[in-house]
Amino acid sequence: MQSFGRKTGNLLTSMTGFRHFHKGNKDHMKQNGFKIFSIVAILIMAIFFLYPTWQDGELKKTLNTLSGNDSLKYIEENREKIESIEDGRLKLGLDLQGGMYVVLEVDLVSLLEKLAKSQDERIDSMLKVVVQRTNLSGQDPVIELVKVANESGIQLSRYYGNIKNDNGEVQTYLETQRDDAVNRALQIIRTRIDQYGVSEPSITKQGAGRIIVELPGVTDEKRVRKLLKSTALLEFKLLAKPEEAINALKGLDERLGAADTTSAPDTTAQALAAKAQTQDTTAGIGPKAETATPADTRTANAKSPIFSRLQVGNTGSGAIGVATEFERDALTKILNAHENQKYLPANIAYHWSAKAIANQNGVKIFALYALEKEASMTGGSIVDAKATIGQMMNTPEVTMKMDPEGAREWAILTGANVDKNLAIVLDNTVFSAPRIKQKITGGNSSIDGLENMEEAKDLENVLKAGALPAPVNIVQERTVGPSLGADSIQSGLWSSIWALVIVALVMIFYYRTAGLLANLALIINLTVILGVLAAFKGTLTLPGIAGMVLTIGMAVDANVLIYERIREELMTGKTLKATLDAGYDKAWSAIFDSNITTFFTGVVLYAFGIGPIQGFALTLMIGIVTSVFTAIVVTRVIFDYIISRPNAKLSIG
Amino acid sequence: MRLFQNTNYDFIGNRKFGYVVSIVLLVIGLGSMAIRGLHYGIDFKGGTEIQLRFEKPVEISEVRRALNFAGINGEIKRFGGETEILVRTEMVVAADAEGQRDVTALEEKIGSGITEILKDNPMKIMRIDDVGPKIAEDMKTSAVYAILGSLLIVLIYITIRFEFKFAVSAIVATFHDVLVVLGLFSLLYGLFPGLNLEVDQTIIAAFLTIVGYSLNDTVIVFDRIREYRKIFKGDTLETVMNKSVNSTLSRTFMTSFTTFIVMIVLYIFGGETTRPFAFGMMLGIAIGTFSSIFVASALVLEWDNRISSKKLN
Repeated sequence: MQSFGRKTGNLLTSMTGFRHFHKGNKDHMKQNGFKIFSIVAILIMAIFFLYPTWQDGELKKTLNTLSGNDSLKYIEENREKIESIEDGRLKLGLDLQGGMYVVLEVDLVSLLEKLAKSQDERIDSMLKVVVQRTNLSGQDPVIELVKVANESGIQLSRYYGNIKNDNGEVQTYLETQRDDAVNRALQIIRTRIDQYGVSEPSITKQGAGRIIVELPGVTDEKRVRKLLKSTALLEFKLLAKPEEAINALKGLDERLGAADTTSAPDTTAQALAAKAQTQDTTAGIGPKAETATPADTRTANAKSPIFSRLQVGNTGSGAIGVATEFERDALTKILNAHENQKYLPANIAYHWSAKAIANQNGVKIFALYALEKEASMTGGSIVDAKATIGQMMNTPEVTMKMDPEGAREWAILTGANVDKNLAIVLDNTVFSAPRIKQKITGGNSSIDGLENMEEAKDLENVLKAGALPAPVNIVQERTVGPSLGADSIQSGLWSSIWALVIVALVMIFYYRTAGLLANLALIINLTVILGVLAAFKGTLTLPGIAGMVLTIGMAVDANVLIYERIREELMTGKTLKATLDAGYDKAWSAIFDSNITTFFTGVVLYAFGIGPIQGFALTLMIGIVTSVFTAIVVTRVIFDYIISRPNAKLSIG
Repeated sequence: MRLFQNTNYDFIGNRKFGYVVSIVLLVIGLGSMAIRGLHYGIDFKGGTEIQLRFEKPVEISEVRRALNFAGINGEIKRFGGETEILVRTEMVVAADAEGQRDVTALEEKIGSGITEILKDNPMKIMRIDDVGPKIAEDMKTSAVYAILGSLLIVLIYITIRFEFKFAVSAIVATFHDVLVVLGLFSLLYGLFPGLNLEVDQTIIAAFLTIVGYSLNDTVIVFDRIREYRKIFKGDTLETVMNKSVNSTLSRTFMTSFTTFIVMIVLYIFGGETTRPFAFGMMLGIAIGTFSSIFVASALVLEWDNRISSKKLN
């Protein structure tokens, strides 16, 4: 009974307290009204942005409780929801979820070698100096070459560009060539990675000639290395007879459908399931079965695994059918499966379009081409390609020039196949399949009927891949296996929890009620850091977690500064309110100046660091901003509320 | 509970003590750097690092035998538990046509050596780090730029908010902290098994955080000096400084304490890769706290004294 009485008593005082607060501090209330609003708004936003991450956790739990086939079914049914969760969840860095980080460097020196109009000893020795210097300085070879030429008074126009150009103009020309080459390499790598089927890959350019490729969840590092390094293969292939190609597919389809007596899981669902469960697997980096196993290809997807996915029909471009991106990956597995090869004609190659031909409600649609397996010609004889606006139709087109030998071959090829489509195939994907209008002699051709200049520019790049291959080298690689990533998540989680618990205890022990408030601020702080990270699509890395642990230790600093000030002020015998005001006011300049200096070092670290270190800098910077906010605003609002009550007491230890 | 309440230690008067400690630490550290040198991680040195996890506990000597059998030489050490091994090599195994390092070939060789010699203890590759010489050179340069850049920015900021002599003293004190920690990394390298005191990207991150942290401490003392100089106009700078250091002492202790604790936590629970970072931070927090009490303010005073003595002359 007594405790009950106490409780009501407490309730009453707090209610009168509220009334008093409302009446006596109307101005304060208004001010605080805005502060409370902003706290609540920020918290709601943080939780909103963290919600997908929580959903992701729930999803994994659900999947773990379901047995194999049920979980696959669940994934199939909730595909859209799962995709939106995956888009919104807090991204984990490669060091936490496993995957590959590769830095590639376009071999610009070999590009300079190839571009040189005449090859003599002088250019050779100049390029040798360039190699030496760039190895030491990491400078751009183009700039280095111009420097070398200027130093020894050599006119670069002897080797590059127009003979009338001075070295400055040659530099501009070479820089354009360099950027083209890097963009070409970028495009080739994008296409290959796209075909490889990695979820959420990231491919970015860095500096003059480097490309950074990040592939989360990839476990077959040997294959990826090969994929990234191999030289691009540009081929021209004639279309196969569509009836023959489709009939062959029908044969395979029936065979697979008939063989499907067991309800083996769907390949596509299986791929998704594997993706969703990457973090739970304990496999090392070691080779993972990437090629389809027989069980995969005998799909449960009705009696017709191929035609339930492929919509047959000529899209006008020479393709035999279309499929969504999701189904494309499943079909590729079926078509490439070793044991299915013998049921497909030996002279036909099935290739997908390199880019989506349409976009249906956000789902990409790709076209399937049936081509002659034997290439009619390779891209090696192309000398140049250029995207322009055609004079006849005033529409974008690409002109292409071949060397004399290639031109002869080209004339025979085009002459024999007038009115047929000829596919331009780069690394086994079809970029375009234009119709041959007439026999082309002299080696100059043009491709029209392109939708826009962008498409023309892309095609120019593809054609140049034959003329000027831009070889890339792997200059850095970091591969982390999923089990190591899972270990890191564990240790990160435990360090955060223990750090939080210990700091919280110290604060309560030392500052009592005020310490409790500081802890509340700390928890809000951590929530907001994660929320901000999720909102800006930042990535949480292991150093990022270390940054957060550090923030737990340092974030209380702002509160400590304020509390120490309040203690000092309390000794001067001021009223509670005056004490608080003075404490906050006087602590402010120290908080501001000290945090901004730390913030600056965070900015520098972000600017100079790479990969995981940037994650550390990012959480550190966000943590500084949020900790100042929580100390100044959150604890202040609560203090104001406490002292507004009659007989208010403040325990600050 | 209140610690360091109303203290009145004569920190500034005893600054000679601080100088002696600083100079001893610097001499030992720099001496060790000159004699023993610094051990760079592959980030700055270039090379390949492969982390292996065996199914059963494994002896380093066995792994060495397996790798020698495969024709690979390099550093082999434990990394965490008894089943984890870290192999590091600068060897270019079977360079491909363009003379590039071929990590696939290296992986295969290691794999074959271990299957041959350690038949009953299979392993998995947990992590591969491969850094080419050019990248390593780039990373070294940007690490130096990062530290110098951050010091420069802070120099400008403190000059604007305080005075130039404060800024220079703060920077010297902070640079002193980084040098001492770097020296200790060189001195303590290899002394603790399981603690890999190499200088790599993560350690640079620790250094920059130490820069930030130590400046944080220093700026808070300076802030108090700025305030007290207005209040206690009749006092000498030395008295004002002592008052300032004493009245911020409790805060300095609390924040250093909480930050130090979380770094201990990170050291224990954070795993093998974050351990050197946590260790560096612990050293940095200790040295940074010391230098903001003894070095930074003391330098401002020395500067001030010199100028006033010049004026007198």
